[in-house]
Amino acid sequence: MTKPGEKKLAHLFQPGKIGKFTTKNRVKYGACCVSNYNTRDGFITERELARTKVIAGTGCGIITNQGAYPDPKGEGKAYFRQIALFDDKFLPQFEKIAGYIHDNGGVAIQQILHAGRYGGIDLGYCIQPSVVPQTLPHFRPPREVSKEEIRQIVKEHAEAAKRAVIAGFDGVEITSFMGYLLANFNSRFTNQRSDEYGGSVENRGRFMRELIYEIKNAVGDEHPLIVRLNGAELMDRWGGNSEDECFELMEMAGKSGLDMISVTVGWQEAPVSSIGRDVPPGHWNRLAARAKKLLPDIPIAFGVRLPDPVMANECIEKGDFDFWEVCRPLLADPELVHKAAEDRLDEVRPCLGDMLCLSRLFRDLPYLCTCNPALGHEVEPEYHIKPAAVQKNIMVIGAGPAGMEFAINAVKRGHRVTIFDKGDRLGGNLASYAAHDLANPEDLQKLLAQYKTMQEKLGIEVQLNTEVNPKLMRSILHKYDVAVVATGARIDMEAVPAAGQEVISALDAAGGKAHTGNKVVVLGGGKIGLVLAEFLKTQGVDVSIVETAKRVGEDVIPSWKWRHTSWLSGLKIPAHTGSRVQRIEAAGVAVINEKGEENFLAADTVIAAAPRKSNQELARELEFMVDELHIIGDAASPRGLYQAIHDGYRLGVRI
Amino acid sequence: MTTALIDALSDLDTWQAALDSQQAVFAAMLPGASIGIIPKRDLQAPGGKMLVWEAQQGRIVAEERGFSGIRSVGVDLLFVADDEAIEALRTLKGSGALEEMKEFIRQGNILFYVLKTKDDLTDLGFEEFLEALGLAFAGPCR
Repeated sequence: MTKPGEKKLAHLFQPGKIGKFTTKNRVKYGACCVSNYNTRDGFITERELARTKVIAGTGCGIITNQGAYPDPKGEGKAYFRQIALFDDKFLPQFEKIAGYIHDNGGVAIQQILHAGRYGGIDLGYCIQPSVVPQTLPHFRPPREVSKEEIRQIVKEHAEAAKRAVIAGFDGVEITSFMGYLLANFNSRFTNQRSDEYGGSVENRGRFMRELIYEIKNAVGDEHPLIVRLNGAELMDRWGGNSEDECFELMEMAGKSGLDMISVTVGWQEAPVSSIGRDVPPGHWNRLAARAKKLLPDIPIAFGVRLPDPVMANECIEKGDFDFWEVCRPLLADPELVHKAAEDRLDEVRPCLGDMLCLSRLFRDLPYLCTCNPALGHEVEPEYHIKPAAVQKNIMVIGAGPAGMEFAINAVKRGHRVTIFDKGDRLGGNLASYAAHDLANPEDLQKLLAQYKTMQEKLGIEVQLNTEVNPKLMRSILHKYDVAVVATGARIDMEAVPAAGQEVISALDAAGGKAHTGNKVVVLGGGKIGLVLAEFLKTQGVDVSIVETAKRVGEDVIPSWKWRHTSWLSGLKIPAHTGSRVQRIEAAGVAVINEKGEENFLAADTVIAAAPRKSNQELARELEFMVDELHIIGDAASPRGLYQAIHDGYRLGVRI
Repeated sequence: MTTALIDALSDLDTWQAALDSQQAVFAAMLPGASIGIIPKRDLQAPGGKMLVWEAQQGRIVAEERGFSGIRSVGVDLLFVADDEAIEALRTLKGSGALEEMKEFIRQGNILFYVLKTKDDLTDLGFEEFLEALGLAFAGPCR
């Protein structure tokens, strides 16, 4: 029977074809990055198997398992805990994964990932078509591959592909995303060879054609081959391929006997953003449309910065592409496809595009997700939502992300929860933050909307405009077994030097409770100060930042630091780092830097955005008033959204 | 390559003044730690000149060397600047040079090559310099 969402998104939920296989819908789970959950020598762990079981159950028509490196030396290995497929000894776990996917009605694809320029992570070198030094210090110095080595690499790809099929996978995928070995051969930037593998587009594409030919030869026509290719490298300014060259290569691939092309965008080292929240959703759809127009008979998959199934449905309807390829949104909410099918998209936990996953991955850590605290912990029963042994009456003080996350999960387990908040809306300070976010406010606003939806659907009682204090508590404490203090943090105004003019809290300024003038000094260059300063500047306010640390953004997720510094630079916002406030006068702020030089910053408004202090006073007052007391989120320690959500979830699933 | 563009890299006095105003950024560098700058067009046609900043006895010194190709470049970091960036850098004086370079890197006018590993660069005292130019966080995923 057709579900209501399947009718609404009829193009997304129609069957598709890849090779001889019919897919149940047009959604492909993309192996966009590896998890780093596995052993250092390439074996799949129980942690990974548990995660993969969840992925297999996402409802996607095609499931691509994360990339395995194909060579025993590890030249293709990009991540310390990446899986391997260069030997039959790895097969038992691959067999399990293929089984999970088939049990859920999916077409199982195994990606083979030779990272080329970004590989050799355990070695003292990486291999490339030519010696082109790295631009990111994370990676290894390059060594040029010989023609004999090229033949060996192609052979190892074909053998790994054959192994995947033996393990039960229906097909395989090779990838150039995002600057891996295939891309290195295709690109003018990294391929400067003078033999038959370099020079013209025809020659640069030879390695790709050989890969396609040998893999198809090894696995047979009945097993589809998908090739991920750049629609744009975003490396052209540094001497990489133009978009036209990328599409020449795509056309060449299309004529070489593959079964699907997945269009990707950007390299890891490209000087511009491709997948962060600072790129509007749908920005790159044109590249998929161009591929489809170029190769109308080959299925095209696409999903770069396309987190929305409604937009994907429209694109498929228009003929821009055939399959919506989705990874990070399914990390944030593995139920996304099911919720779309059941017309429950308002319940979807959004991918915020905040890059926590990749920030961790590129620091050699397992990836995690801001919005999905269970990701990476699927194997641990403590992270599962199970009925509570004892049903409790719980009051939550604070309707910010920590409080909401706790409440939603506690109610799912059968507890009765009432949320109190002194404000007039759910979301706490996140609502103000979202309103000023330069990147893409909709991402954060979607999370706020999801909290509202879940509160209503789960019937969580909310008392807004209600400040919980000991007096109120005495009148209601008999109703509750548990109090959860999720009151967040404030700007510690007592830490601001005595002032000759009123100093405004950044939270009041962002929340519209305080008026700001035309010449503003923001004290504190952490994320709150940065977001507020950037926003004020876009409103025509003359703004500068004073930060005691050597650099701004110390509390920002690593992948976002350069975005903020770039925005400061682009907006011409002076940041006085390594500087302390000497005094605040009616006309402005006197600051002194590390060299002892004093500088006077004229201002009609001074905003304090640091330091932050947890709102813990209420917790101390409630200590002997309630049976069970917990403090979560910034109320425990001022941190950020990711920690608040995870704190709330972890308490919610175990209380 | 115009004379003006070559002069931009050869004007060692101007570069030394710019470096002297930014010594804090280079303070942790060990003697011998070095940075090279070449025009983009010389990358494929070696034989030209390379501006080198090298840590020597507690300060960073601007000097000129020959550039005979990337395999024998002999510096730890290499900046490859297009004509627009070189023309802009030519007019720069004092402390604005690094800030301007950072912007050119972000815009893609200056490409940089890392000739040592991250650990080697850290050991050589490059951390502050990499941070100052935003190199540690370059790349859309990072």
